[in-house]
Amino acid sequence: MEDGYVNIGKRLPRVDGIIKATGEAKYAADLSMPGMLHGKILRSPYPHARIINIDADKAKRLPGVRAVVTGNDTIGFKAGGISARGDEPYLALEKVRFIGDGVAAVAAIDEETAEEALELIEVEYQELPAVVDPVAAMNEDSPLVHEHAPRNISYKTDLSYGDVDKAFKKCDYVREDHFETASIRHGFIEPHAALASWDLSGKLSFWGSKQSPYFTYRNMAKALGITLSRIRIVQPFIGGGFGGKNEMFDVDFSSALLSRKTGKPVRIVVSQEEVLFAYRQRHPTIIDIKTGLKKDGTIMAVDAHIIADGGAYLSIGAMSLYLMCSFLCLPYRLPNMRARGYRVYTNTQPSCAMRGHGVPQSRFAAEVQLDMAAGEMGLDPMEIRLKNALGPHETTPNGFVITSCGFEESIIEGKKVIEKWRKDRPKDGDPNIKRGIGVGCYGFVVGPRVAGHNTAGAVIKVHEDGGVSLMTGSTDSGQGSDTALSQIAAEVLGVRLEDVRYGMVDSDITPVDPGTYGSRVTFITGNAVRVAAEDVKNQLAEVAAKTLEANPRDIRFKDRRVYVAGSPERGISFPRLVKIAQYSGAGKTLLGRGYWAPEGLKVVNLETGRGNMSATYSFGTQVSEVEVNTETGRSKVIRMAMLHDCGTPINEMAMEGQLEGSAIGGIGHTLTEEIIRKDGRTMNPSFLEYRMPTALDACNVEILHTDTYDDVGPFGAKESGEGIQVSVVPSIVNAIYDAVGIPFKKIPITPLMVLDALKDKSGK
Amino acid sequence: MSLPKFEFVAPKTVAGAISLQKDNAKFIAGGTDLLVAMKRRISSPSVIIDLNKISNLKRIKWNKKDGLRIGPLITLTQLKENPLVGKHLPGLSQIVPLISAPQLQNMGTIGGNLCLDARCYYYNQPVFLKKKREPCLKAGGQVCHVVKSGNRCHAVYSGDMAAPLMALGTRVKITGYSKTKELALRKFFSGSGIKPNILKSDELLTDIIVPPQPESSGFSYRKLRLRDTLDFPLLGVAVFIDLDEKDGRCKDFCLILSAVGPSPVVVEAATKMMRGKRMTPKLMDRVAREAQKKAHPVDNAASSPGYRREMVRVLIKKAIREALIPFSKV
Amino acid sequence: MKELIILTINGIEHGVLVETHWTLLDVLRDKIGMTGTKKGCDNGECGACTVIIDGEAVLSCLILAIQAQGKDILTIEGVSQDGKPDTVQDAFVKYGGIQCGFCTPGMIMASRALLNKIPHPSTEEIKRGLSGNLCRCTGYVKIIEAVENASTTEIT
Ligand SMILES: Cc1cc2nc3c(=O)[nH]c(=O)nc-3n(C[C@H](O)[C@H](O)[C@H](O)COP(=O)(O)OP(=O)(O)OC[C@H]3O[C@@H](n4cnc5c(N)ncnc54)[C@H](O)[C@@H]3O)c2cc1C
Ligand code: FES
Ligand code: FES
Repeated sequence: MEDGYVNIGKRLPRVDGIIKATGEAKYAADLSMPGMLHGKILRSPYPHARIINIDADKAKRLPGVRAVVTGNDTIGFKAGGISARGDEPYLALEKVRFIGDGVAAVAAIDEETAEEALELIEVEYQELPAVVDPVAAMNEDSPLVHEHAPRNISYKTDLSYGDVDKAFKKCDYVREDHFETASIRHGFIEPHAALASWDLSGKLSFWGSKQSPYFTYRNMAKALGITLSRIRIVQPFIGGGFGGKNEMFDVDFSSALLSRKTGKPVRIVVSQEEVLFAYRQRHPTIIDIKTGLKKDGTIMAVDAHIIADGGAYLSIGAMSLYLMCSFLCLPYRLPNMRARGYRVYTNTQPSCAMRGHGVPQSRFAAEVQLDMAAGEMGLDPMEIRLKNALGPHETTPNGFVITSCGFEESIIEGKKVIEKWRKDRPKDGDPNIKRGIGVGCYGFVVGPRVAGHNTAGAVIKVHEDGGVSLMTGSTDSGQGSDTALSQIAAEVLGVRLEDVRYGMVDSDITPVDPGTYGSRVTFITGNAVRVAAEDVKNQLAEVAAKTLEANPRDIRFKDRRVYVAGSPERGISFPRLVKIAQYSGAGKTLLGRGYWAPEGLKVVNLETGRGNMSATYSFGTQVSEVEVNTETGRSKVIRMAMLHDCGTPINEMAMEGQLEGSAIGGIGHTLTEEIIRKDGRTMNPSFLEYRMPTALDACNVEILHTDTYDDVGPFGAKESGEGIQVSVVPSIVNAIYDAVGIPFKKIPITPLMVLDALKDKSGK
Repeated sequence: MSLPKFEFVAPKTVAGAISLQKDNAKFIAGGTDLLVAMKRRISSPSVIIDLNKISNLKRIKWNKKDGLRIGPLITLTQLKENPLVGKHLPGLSQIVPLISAPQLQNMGTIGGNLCLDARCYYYNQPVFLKKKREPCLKAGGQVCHVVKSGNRCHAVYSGDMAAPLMALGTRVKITGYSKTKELALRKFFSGSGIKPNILKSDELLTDIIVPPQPESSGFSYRKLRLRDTLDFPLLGVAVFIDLDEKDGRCKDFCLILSAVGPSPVVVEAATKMMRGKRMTPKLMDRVAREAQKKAHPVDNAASSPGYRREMVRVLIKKAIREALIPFSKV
Repeated sequence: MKELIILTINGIEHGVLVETHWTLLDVLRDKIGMTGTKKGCDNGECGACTVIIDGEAVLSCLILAIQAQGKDILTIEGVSQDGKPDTVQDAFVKYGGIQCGFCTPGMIMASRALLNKIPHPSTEEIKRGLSGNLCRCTGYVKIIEAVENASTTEIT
């Protein structure tokens, strides 16, 4: 059946490719409106302080300034990933909790005037003792970031399955290690931007760089105290998100509030510096993990203790913590597991989701520790993985139900890659350059069930010339979902990709949708699109059946033709059929509607977590080869192979792009990226000093399939956007381990760390 | 952040540029350092004097006696692509790819690179993050945030061109209101992080003169950084060697370290140790250790001082080996 | 201190009233309305604002608009010819060199400038040529492939 696809599985260029290549695609900061004002946000210079008074008189009197708003102009709404525990006002209320916390916002005739006005706002602060270290934050006598959270515990997860203590006693080999991961950033090149226009009838139109526009839609209504029907959220093109543009932020809220106050459209574009010091980060973590194995390499038990630095607010952190803990159950069979996680408030930037959401941190620890165990036990790291690999139709102790799973195959293929690489490695060369190969594995969710609305919807409109308009509520923040979804619609309707026009999110028109996170769009929205397309297709099949004198069930749609199964000559063109449907008899208006969400999933209790949260899981193995320069301590990744079960790819080229982006991004996460803070102040808020990989770091990435066909996924697809990001870091760390015999337990691995470790090693 | 307001003038001659100098005016060449500094309010000149209209400053000439005469407005890309440089000093063009990134090489000038302001972790931050911190010495205050007890500014001169040019014996011409002077490039640097060069506000760097190099010489510049592009040097090492090809002894030797302090550091002792000697691994090691004593990196960059100090030795050896390559064929 | 200047952008002269301290990037985007050129960092660190002036790729966030007078400025809007994307743009689309697209205009300008100088660059030359342009989405792999392909299809 698959062979016959016209759109699915093909390397088709993105639907928005050309307008992005020509600069025509509009991003939030590219939009403007007549009479538009420009906004800027005043931020806290203190990590922790009480606001005594804000005097904006001077600022308001500056020519060109139209309005200044502060927390006092709001109704005091506080946002948070768990709404009942919301703790983050969009403009500070009584306190500021990190350097960069939004305090006031100004609207003026241009950006410069707005900047100037910020300088004139006088805020009287009473400085409070701050806590910036998560471990210190947990002390009884530490200052509290939020009064409601004793010992600054923002969220706690305590998972326990099987009998861990008993299992450890039966193990032949047990080891405990301490791991740390740094603060890293999403690294999107497009800074946050928003344009809001409040009209005099009391309706708000909003354009913002949001991965999940409907989050902003809901929170905007709550924060402004207006009904949802008065809010229209429109999605422009999004310049990358990676989890950092899911939530609504001060820039979004302030533009709306200022527009309401001034009666003019207000645009706020934050600077990249602000993005780096005042917005979200990946949770830095401290992970103590104990693993027990049998002599033969069978993993018996894992006990982990995780402290995640949540920064100043809850954000989506409860989920992050839960994922960090629960994903220790994947991708290996693990009969006994305990994970205690503490997400801790500190007076630093809030942490949230970032590509791989929570899983990269704990998987890094577990995968590196596994190699250390293998090394000491004299076992092959690949064999140990193969031995413990979860397979199809297994259920993890916490209740994850595995269905399609190409994990074992990915390890086997990975082994072959390693063998090949070891053989074709140059023999001679610089004695100061050590080569090593390492591996990392993962399992990841595909559209997890989380609390709240989880369904995706799609609407399809068929034009009378055979063209198709597709609308969903999902956003493409770069990953290519608009294209994948269009391909699905095209395939079901038997038209070509270029016949489909994709309409981006507009809450007035498109269906409500959770947005882009958790690798859900292709899988969940893809299914909704399939259902919607089938809906119109069935309507058309009725008409075709009449015209072609056949049974509707026998009508086939393919490559712009509609025909009777088995006799392709008995058919008409798709546009012709649409015309007939629309014009003959009473006439039809061709609209397809579909919504979809996986059945039978549980909203997992994030504190105790048991239950299946995802309809299927993706798996994979990552192999990396590095060169470590033992003189300078610098490591360079020279090639990678990704063996990945993403289900059946809808668009191979887009899928590869996701993997390559994960791979090269992961090089940065492992080797060079780190936000450095001193006393809560970001020291390197620039792309010059926050060192992301450049084209010179791009290495050859071999992408090998161990794909499965997922019965639930649209056309067999699962996910490719996030999962494999998880295994990149440990594969590089393990490659360095292989090269120089030192397992690093802290990332990023700086050249100094390498040199120091080499010295220690030779000293012994 | 937007740029602060200023008056803009673009004179056509050096004399014009100098006469337009007022107390708080600044020259602009490629602008790649100055404009970033201005956006960060590190510099807020009331007048910007654009040097780009002065065609005199955009020439490269060669004569046997003086060598290369390079106008300060020559961009790094022009330096790389210039046939005269390629012919007489290919080593110089090879440095360009080590600096910043292609677009910045197309904009940044060699003069601007030599006149680069010193940089520091604290000082170069966005205005906002400096707000509640006392102004440091370089910002006109009384403290140094890097070396808390110190009364010296520890900002680092981080230009890539200075060390190699110094190693090649470069001289510079400075043109002032009433007089011009020519001096060795090594005398151009002041040793102060607050203002790393000796230029007065109404003086222009007008010529960079690189003498002809002896046939029997070799040269190398090695740069330490965490990424192979964009990054300023964490350390730079330039080596010049002149060998007596008959007996393999050093006729002359010069070693310069860059990005370890407010000025490039000339390791004089190395010259003394090497003159008249044959290069051996042992000697190389001694030279490297001597140089290490002269390097005092402090905690004002992305990488730890300990690491940079350690790397002094490694880079020196690499640089010496590279400088010796032309002789290895003999 | 406003001044009326004339900028030659994509072969067409634009008269604009500018403040001396406005960057070319801001003038292109906010005054002329050419928003194809992107502002990623505004400090010379990301390459998103790359335009070609007199044949060289430069960063419009670090050039004063007033300094660009009398020069030939090529922006992303001027790359396509006769209503058709040029080879580099085509290659980026065809070989998957675009994801979110925010770095794309700058990448294409840098690639364009590179190919004008070196019509058939090696992979290493392409990497170097694009090393001032950050992309977080693609990992550069398909961008490099796109430029390689553009260089072989280009009629020079
Ligand atoms: C992201 C980024 C990365 C960078 N990486 C590097 C790097 O790796 N290595 C490196 O060396 N530099 C680097 N730089 C700095 C800079 O781009 C270069 O040093 C460049 O060569 C400076 O030249 P310019 O013409 O742009 O200087 P400008 O900014 O025009 O001038 C710099 C200073 O010199 C003064 N000046 C310029 N010309 C003269 C003259 N003829 N007489 C008197 N005064 C003069 C100016 O008044 C100003 O104070 C980087 C910059 C950025 C933004
Ligand atoms: S915006 Fe100009 S380099 Fe980033
Ligand atoms: S495509 Fe998103 S940054 Fe390059």
